[in-house]
Amino acid sequence: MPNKYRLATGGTIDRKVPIKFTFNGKTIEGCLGDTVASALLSNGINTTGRSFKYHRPRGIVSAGLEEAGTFIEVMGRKGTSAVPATIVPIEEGLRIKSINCWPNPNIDFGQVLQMISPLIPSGFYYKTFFKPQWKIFEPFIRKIAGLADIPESEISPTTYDSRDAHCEFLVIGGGIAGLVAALMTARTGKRVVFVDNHMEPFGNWSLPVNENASIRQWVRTLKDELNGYSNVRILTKTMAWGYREQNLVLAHETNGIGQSELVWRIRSSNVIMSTGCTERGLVFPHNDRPGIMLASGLLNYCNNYAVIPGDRVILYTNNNSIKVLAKTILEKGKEIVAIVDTREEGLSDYSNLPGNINIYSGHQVNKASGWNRLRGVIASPVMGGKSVTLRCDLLAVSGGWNPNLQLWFQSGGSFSYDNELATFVPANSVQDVITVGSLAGKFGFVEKINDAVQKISDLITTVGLSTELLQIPEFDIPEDEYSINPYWESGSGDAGSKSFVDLLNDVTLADIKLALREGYDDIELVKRYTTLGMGLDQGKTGNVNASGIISNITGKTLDEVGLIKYRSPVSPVSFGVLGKPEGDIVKPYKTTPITKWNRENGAVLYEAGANWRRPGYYLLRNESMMDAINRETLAVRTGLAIYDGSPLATFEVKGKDAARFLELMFTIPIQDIHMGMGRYGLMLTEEGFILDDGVCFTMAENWYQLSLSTGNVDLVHQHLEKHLKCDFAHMDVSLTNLTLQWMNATVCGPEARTFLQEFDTDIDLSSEAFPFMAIRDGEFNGIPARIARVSFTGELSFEINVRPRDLEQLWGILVKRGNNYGITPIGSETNHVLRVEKGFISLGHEVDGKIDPIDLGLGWVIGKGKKDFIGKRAMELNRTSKLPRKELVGLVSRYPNIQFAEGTPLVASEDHLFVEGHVTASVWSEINQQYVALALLDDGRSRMGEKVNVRNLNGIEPAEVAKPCFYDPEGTKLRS
Amino acid sequence: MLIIDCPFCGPRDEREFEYCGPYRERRPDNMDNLSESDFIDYLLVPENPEGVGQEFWWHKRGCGEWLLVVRDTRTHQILSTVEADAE
Ligand SMILES: [Zn+2]
Repeated sequence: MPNKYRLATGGTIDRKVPIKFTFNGKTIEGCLGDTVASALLSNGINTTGRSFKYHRPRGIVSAGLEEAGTFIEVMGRKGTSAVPATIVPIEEGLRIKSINCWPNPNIDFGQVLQMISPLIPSGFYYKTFFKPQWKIFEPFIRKIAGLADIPESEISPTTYDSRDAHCEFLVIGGGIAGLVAALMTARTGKRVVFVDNHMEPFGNWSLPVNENASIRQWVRTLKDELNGYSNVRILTKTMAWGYREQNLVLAHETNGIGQSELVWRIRSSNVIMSTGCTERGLVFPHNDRPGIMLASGLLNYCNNYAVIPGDRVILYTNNNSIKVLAKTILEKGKEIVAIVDTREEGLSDYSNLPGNINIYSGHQVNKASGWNRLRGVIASPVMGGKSVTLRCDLLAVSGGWNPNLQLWFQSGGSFSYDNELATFVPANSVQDVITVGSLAGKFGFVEKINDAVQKISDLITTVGLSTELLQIPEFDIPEDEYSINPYWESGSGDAGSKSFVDLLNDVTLADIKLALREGYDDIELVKRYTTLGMGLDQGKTGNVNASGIISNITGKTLDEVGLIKYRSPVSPVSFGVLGKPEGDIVKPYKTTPITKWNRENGAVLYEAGANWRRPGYYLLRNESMMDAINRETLAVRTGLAIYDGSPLATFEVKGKDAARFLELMFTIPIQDIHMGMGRYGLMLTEEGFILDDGVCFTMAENWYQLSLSTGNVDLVHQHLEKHLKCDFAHMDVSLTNLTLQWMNATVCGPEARTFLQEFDTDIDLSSEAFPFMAIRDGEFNGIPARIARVSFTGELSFEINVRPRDLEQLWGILVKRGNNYGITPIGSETNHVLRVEKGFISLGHEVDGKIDPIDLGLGWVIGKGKKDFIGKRAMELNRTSKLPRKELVGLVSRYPNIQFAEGTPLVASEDHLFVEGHVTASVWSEINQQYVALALLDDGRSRMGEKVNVRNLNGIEPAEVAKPCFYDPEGTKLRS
Repeated sequence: MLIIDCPFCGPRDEREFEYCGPYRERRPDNMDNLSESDFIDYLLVPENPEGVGQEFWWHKRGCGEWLLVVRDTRTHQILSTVEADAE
């Protein structure tokens, strides 16, 4: 019979709308409003999972985020893993699997672990890792310790996004104190954000309340007023999970499995925390049997889902908050077999309950019996005496209430132990945050309201605002003082019986004792040694018990023992929502003005540094990528080619001290660069390593232009700026990044000059008037242009710089008239081949952050007479060590068709594990008809002609060390 | 994520800024005849206090100014923000 344990009336579920889903392959019927947990419980499914380490059967132990018993995996397209069964609403056709069960929760191979459990005490993993037996255990452990499978669907249909919110008041938690706080702050007219993780954000009490009509009426009034404020943003189904510096609170909003998810970054001048309390369990042997749950969980299932998943109920408590549950169960017509209360004075608390309930005050539960289902408990007087066996199928436990300090911890707030409440409460704040309600240790209903009213009034006055007074009606409810007798552990149990402190991570009382015995006497060490509180629930129901137990054993006070530090997030948050959204909207690519032309002419475009999307090569019909690159390189070497060099970094440096500044920034002398000429140089970091290379042109007196690498522009800009502002602020220099202001078409190849001379230009392009490294301003075919004779290809090359708006026109005319020459557009892959053939360095290949100019054979760019430049001193200091340096060399194989892949190590001949260098770049050189490579090799420059060993994937390949230049070593072509 | 109160732009989100390292003294002018130990101190021994420290921030996606931020590394509280070369 479906829903066997569903009560006939009550609850917020809709009995008329049945919903079917599958759980471990079995079809389950629940109804609208059920969670996976409530639907399973109403159907009498007790064993819903297996424990992490010992694979003991586990059931559902709570009704909220504190769940430590049952985690599930949602399968299918909307798949998600490791979520508590208590927070997933059921949907028609949902497929659910419990995790840690192999092959299923009832037949579990992992039970074998039970038999070997004495062999896996706490610290087992640490100990095993140090010994050879890990090899034996590993496959077995991996198989059974896996948490959840990778979702079936590759791409989740869920959309993830983020939002920012700013406000004067942020209220976290929608209990009564939170509601009061939200309303009072709303009345100030300032911006208020109100965050709550429940479906229905108002009236979720953590401590049980004897609700009546007057309470419900008042809550409705407050809620209606709050909903009417336009200055209030109410975020429901939103969990505040992170508290960062300067009152930044991170919250996760979701509409359920597979729905869109948002992460909110809420910055508030004041934060009001009313995150409430969570009930803790009691520690006794076999306290993990399916059928044992937190009293608060059972109360929730009773009231909201109309489920009492058992016929014979026992309540076990150390405090009087369980009274509300007792009353509710009796009202629903179920039998309470007994109440076991560790307090002697417990008896009087239950005097006005109807019927004859056996009250065992001053008693403890010694152990629970049953395996897949609870069968009963054995109880005995705390002070010793005759034990009694009680049969039951449902045990609700309450070990007391703990303020939810997770966010408070994250905000930096301190805490102290409250003897009356037997738990930790917030003490001093570090940020602008206050706590109200049960979080602040106010456990009575009216007490919570008064606390909130008082603190919020004070806060509003302190920040210089005012608010209307809140009228609080008389509630006709019995307000008992909370009474608790902390009882951190009970029952001695036999040697083999386990008392769980952390249900989710299978940490037992014995494990904690072992950790303390082995000298891990700090609670944070106990945590690391036993994995206590390290599960998905972060020990929400177990950590305070652990502190109590450690205090009992060590004799330290609870303030001395402290509490395991709670970390962000408060509860797990999906990776999707934490990841930065990617794509063109968030991170747009930069493109140059001829992108349209490129697309129409076969360009294969992709990112090539600094977020520029540019052609890698241009594909003609039926060509392979390799064909295209070979065709393009030959065009440069033998005819005429053109490329778009716009992404190159361009900086302008002006001012009286511009030269003085650049002398310090570059390795080369600057002052003697003639007007209209440029000089190739390097920029080093102060640590003496290469940051970038490029050309510095002298445009006029006190006016320089830098042409630098594409990829490093942001870093170089920061480097220049930092030194200018922080070291050389006294200099008269202005620095402007003109990268996006100058676009260029670079015409290269032996025929470049002849071709360009056909155009109408006032710039004399002859080699006498316009030598290599010169720069000229003028007009080119009617377009204002700045032409530079630099070359990244090793060929005669003219870089025609124009305004961005002119590039398309310039490009068009060059390509059109170049047809007679067979002008060939080339992409960045081809440029790479050409620069490797020439041995020109490239950032990220030869320059890896550990290389200095001399290593690359660029000693000649270091100005001999320079007393100082950034990095000089450190470079010299680095070189005082006589260890071998990695030096740039060329590599060739005996066989032209052998390629040494980039990154391949070069190894010593006597020891193939000794790496003496690596291949930095390797290309097919069409002009040489062979593969050529560049490499960094220990003392490479003095080893020309030597044989070295390249450790390719399929063995050792001999190679010959050569000069790092495979084309026109004298440079006559590029100077022509 | 920090809010940095730029003296030119007002309080702005950290995402507009680039962190540019801890504060250090202005680069010595006599780098070529600095003693080796003084040089190593300058290069490799920046202050890295647990507590109040000074650091450079660049308002790159804002006004472009360089800022000297005094921040408590334990609480992330920002105690002051001034222009880096305002001496
Ligand atoms: Zn600014």
